[in-house]
Amino acid sequence: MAEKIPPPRPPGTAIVPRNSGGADSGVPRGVLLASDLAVGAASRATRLALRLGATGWDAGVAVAHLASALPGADSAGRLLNSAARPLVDDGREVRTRARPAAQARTQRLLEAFLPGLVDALDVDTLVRRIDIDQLVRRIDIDALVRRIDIDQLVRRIEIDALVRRIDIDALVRRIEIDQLVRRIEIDDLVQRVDLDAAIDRIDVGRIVERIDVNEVVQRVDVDAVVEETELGTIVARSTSGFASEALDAARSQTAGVDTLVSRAVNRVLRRKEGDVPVGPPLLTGEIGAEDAASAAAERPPPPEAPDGESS
Amino acid sequence: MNSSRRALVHQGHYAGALSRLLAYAADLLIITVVYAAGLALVQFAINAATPWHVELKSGYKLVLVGELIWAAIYFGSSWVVFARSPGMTLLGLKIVRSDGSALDRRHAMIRLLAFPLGFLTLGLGFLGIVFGRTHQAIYDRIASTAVVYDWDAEAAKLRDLATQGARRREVQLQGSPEP
Repeated sequence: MAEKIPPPRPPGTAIVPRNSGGADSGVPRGVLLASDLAVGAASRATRLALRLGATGWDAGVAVAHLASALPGADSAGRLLNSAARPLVDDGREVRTRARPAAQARTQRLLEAFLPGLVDALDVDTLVRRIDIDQLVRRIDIDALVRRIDIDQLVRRIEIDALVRRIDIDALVRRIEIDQLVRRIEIDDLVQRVDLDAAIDRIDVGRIVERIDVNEVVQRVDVDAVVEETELGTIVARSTSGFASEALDAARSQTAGVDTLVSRAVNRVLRRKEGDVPVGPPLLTGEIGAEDAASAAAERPPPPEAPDGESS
Repeated sequence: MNSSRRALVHQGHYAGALSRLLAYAADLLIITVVYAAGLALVQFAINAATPWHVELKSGYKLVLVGELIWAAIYFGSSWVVFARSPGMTLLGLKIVRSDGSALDRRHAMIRLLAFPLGFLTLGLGFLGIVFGRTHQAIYDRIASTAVVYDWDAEAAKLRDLATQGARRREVQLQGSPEP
């Protein structure tokens, strides 16, 4: 027999037993009939007693109202009150003493029955029946947030501990730097920079002290400076003259002719160019002239031949 | 590569035959001119200030010896003091020790004493300048000296560059339209 699923009810209004009872409970049918009969009879008797009691109470109240209207009712009432006072006091005392005992018994009763009751509940089915969306809709989030003291909440957070738990490397790896840089408006950024203030903050003296002036000068192409700038013109006007230019040219030309003669002689004497020392070792950085021939094979090639001198 | 830049390559190299010959010729010219001028002055002074009359043509042997002594003084003093003679200065040459170190007085004097061997061997002593690997004459071998190119080629190159640049700018200025 297929289990019939009851219609959904509002959350919190129904307790669903794990088993539906009846034939599936395993109790004999005769016992069930007898117990139902007994419970039904007891229920009827109880309802009848309660109804009779209520009628009696109402009748008692009416009789009391009538009696109070009779002459001498007040005196009789006071007499009755005086007579009933000790009984009332005893009753109150008994009630006061019985309350803790009743609470203890109730507690024991609950402890005995609640675990079984809780076991009988199917929590999963209960949860499935809860309409979370409706529950959330009923929550006033704004009111809830308004009730939160953010400052106090933040004060309770240990920022240091929180930061220590953050894996900065992993965080940085997840950032796409290129995409981030592409989104930066360089022009806007530069326009917002106060260059004058930045320059004012630079210690130029310190920077200059850290510069290796000798290295800088070595990087300067002096030839280009002299040839391409007005400085060259000044140098030319102050140092050049016909005599010096003619002397420089004569020296260079003579040295060129010497080279040609030396090459011709070396060719006649069947000497290899690399075997002939070009100058004293201390001036050319080569090994001794006497060892030049024997070490010719290990020596690097001679300097590049000047233009127009190759034979 | 122009000549000024090419000259940088030669610095410190053994000087060749033509440079040394021209330097010697310049020295010989200076020696002769100065000696002749000096002799003429001395002759004029003696003839004018004394009752004697000097005729140099008759005493040419004495004049020749005097010229040799003057030449020795000329070369010796210039080599010891400057490590080069005036003619070598003109051609941009310098005398160094055979290993390239600076010439000292002792080796300069040895070179001076051995210098006549170049002539006394009927010129064979000079052949080393042309055919030797290190371009050393016989007196260079004896004195352990060598002659190398050594003029201020760097300055010469800068002068040349400056002159060329200045000329090029002048041409550009002449070619540019008037403002």
